[in-house]
Amino acid sequence: MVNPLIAQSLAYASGLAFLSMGLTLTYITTRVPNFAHASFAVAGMYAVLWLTKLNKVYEVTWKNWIKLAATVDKDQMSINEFRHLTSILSSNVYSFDYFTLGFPLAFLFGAAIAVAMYVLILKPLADRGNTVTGLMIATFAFDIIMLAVYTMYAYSTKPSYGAYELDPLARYALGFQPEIAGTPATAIVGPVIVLVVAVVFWAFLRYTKFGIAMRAAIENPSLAETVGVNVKLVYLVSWVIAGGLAGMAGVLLVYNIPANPNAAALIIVSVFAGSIAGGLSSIFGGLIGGYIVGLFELLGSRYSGDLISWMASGITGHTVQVNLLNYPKLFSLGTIIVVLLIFPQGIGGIDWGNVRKKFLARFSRPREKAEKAGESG
Amino acid sequence: MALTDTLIELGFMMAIYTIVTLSLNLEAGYFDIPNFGKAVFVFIGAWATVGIGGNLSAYLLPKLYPEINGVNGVVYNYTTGYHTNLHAALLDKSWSRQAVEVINLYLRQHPMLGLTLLLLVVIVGIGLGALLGLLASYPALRLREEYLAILLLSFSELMVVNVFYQTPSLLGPQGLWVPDFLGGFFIGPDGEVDIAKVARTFIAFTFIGTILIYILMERIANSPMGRLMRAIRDDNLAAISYGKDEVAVRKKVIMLSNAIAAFGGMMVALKTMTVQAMNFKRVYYTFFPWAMMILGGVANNAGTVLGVIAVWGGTRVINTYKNDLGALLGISPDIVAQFDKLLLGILILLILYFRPEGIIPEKPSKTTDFEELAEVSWKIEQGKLDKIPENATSRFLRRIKTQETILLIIALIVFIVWLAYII
Repeated sequence: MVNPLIAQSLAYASGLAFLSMGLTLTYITTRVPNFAHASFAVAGMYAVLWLTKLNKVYEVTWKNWIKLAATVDKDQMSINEFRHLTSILSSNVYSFDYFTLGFPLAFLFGAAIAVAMYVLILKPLADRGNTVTGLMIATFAFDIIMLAVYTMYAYSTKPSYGAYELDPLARYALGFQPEIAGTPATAIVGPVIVLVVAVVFWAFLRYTKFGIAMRAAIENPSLAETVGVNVKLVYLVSWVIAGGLAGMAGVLLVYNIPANPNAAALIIVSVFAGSIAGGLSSIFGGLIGGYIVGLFELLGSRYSGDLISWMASGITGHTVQVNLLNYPKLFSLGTIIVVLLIFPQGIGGIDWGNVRKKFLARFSRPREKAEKAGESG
Repeated sequence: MALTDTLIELGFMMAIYTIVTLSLNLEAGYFDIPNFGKAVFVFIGAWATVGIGGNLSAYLLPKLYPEINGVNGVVYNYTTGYHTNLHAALLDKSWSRQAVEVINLYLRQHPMLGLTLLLLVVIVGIGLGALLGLLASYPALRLREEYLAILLLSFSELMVVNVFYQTPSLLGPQGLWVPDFLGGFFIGPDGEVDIAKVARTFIAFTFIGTILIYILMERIANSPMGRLMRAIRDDNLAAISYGKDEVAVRKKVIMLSNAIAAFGGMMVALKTMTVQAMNFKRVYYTFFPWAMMILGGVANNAGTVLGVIAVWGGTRVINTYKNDLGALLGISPDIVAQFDKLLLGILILLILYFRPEGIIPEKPSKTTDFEELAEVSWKIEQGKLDKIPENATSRFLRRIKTQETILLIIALIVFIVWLAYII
C-alpha cells in the first residue's frame, strides 16, 4: 500500500513524461511548439471510455444505473445511494483490459489525430511558407477544433449531464481504477510502460536502420536528404510516435485527473513545462523533464505548503497554515521560468561528458594532477 | 426596443473585442511579440474593478461612515449570523452579494465618492495592465518567439484558471460583484438606481474609448514609431545596426498594448457588473482576438475591425439561433453552440492556407508623399510658388486627418445620444 498521493503523482508524471517526450519529438522535427499536443491525450481518454462501453458488464451496470436513476432524484442522491451505485460498478467494471487493450487503442487514436494534423494542416502550411507564429496559431486553432469536437461528443452521449464529463457512468467507473497489491494500477503500470517504451525507442534509434536515419534527419535534414534518407517519411513517423505516446498518456491520465473535454487545456502547461525542463532538444530529456514536473507539481504542492508553514511557524512563533494544494500549476510555471531564464539548454542540453570530465578533474589524485601540470608546463 | 437592445449588446462586445484585438495587433501585427497570454492582461483590468474598487470601498466606507460595520440586518446571513466587518463580508462567499449591496447603498448616497473611486479604478486598472506588460517585457527581450509564446500562455493559464480561480481573497470560483460606482447619478423617480442607464453609460464610454483607441493606433502605425516597429519586426539586426533601441521599443509597445487590453477588460466588468475568472478563458480572450486579427489582416487596423465584426457576428448568430439550428439539423442546441469554435478553427486554418495576409493586407505606412513634395519643390524652383503651401505636405496625412475627423464626429454623436438618453 503506497501513499495515494505518491501513487497518483507517479501515474500523472508517467503520463506527462509520454506527453513531453512526444512534444519534444514534434518540436525537433517540425520546429513549431504544438499547442494541440494535449488534445491527443484526450483521444486516449476516449479510447478507454469506449473500452468501458464495449465491456458487457457495462450494459448490465448501465441498466442498474437507469433503474436507480429512475427511483432517485439525481441531484438529491444521498451519499449512501451514491456509494451503493459505485460499489455495483466497482465490483464489475474493474478489468486489466484497460491496459492490455487500452494502450494499443489509445496509441492508434492519438497517432491518427496527430497524423491528420501534420498531413492536413501543418505540412501544407509550412510548405506555403508560413512563419512560426502562423504555425503556432494553426496548432492553437486545431486545439480549439478538437475541444469543440470532444465537447460535442460529450453532449451527444448524455446531454443532460453537460459537457464537463466524458460520460457520467464512465466517471464513476473510472473513479475506481484496477489495483495491484493494494496500489492503484496506473502507479505501477505507468513507470513500467514508460521505461519499456523508452528502452524500445532508444534501441530503435540506435540499432535499426530507420532509427539511425531518423536521428540523421533530425540532426541535419538537408544533409540527410542528400544521402538518401526519406526525410518526409521520417517526419511522418515522428508524428505517429508523438501522437501515439500522447494517446497512451491519456490512458494513464484518465484515472488521475478530472477527465473531460477541457482536460487538454489544463495539462498543456505542464506538458510544455516538462519539455522545456528537458531542453526542447532531446527526446529523453523530455521524458525526464516530464517526470520532474509531474512529481514536482503534485508532491511539491503538497509538501512545500507544509514546509513553508513549518518554517513560518518557527520564525513567527504563531501557527501559520500555508496550503498550496490548489496551485500545482505554480510549480510548472516556476519550472518554465527558471529553466528558460537561467539555463535555457535544459536537462537534455547538458553536456554530460564535459560534466564528467570536470568532476574527474576536481577529484583526481594529486599525482595525475602533477602529471597534467607537467604536460601543460 | 428589443432589437435596439440586442444591437447595442452586440455592438458593445464588438467594441470590447476591437479594443483587445487592436492592442494585440499593435503587439503581434505591427511588432513581433506573439502574445498568447492576452487573456490575463484583459482579465487584470476586469479584476481591478473588484480587486481594487470593491476592496477599497469595503475598507474606506466603514472608515468614512463608521455606522456601517455591525449594522443590524445590513450584512446579514440567515445561516451564520452577522458579519461585523464589511471587508470580511465582501470576501465571504455567501455574504459577498449583500456586502456589495451595502457598498452600493452608500455609494448611491455619495455619488462623487463613487466617481472618485471609479476614476481611481480606471487609472489603477490601466496601470496594472502596463505593469504586467512591463513584467512580460523582461522575458520578451530575451526569448525566441516560440518560447515567449509558451511562457505567456502558461502565465495566463496559471493566473486566470488557477490562482484567481482558487484564491477566495482574490476572486474565487463564484466571482465577485462589481460595486455600482455611478449609481448615485442615475436615481430614478422611485428612488431606485436605474441599472439600464448605468449600463448604457459604460457602453457609451466604451464606444467613445474604442474610437479614441482606434485613432491612437492609426497615429502610432503611421508615425516614425510605427515605421520603426515594422523595421524591427522585419529585420531587427538591420534596425539595431542603424542605431535604433530595440529594447526601449519593445518595452513601450508591450506596456501600451497591455494597458489598452486591461481597459477593455475593465469595461466588460463595469458593464456586466460581475467578474468571474472562468469568463476570461483563453478561448475567448486569446484565441478569438488572434483569429479576428488574422482574419481581418495582420498589421492593419481597419482589417482588425472587419475581423471583429465577422467573427463576433458569426459567433452571436450561431449562439442566438442555436435552438432553431438544432431543430433544423435534428441535434441538441448544446452541440450547435460548439459550432462557433469549430467553424472558427477551420476558418483560421483556411485563411492561413489561402490568404495568410488576411482580408485586407498590410499597407505601407502613410507618411509624407515624396512625389508631391518633389512636385512642390519643382514649382518653387520654377518660381510658380514662393513657399510650401500649408496643406501640401502629404495627401496621405490629409486622408488620415479626414478619417480622424469623421471618427471624432461619430464619437461626438455617441456622446450626444447618451446625453439625450440619460436626461
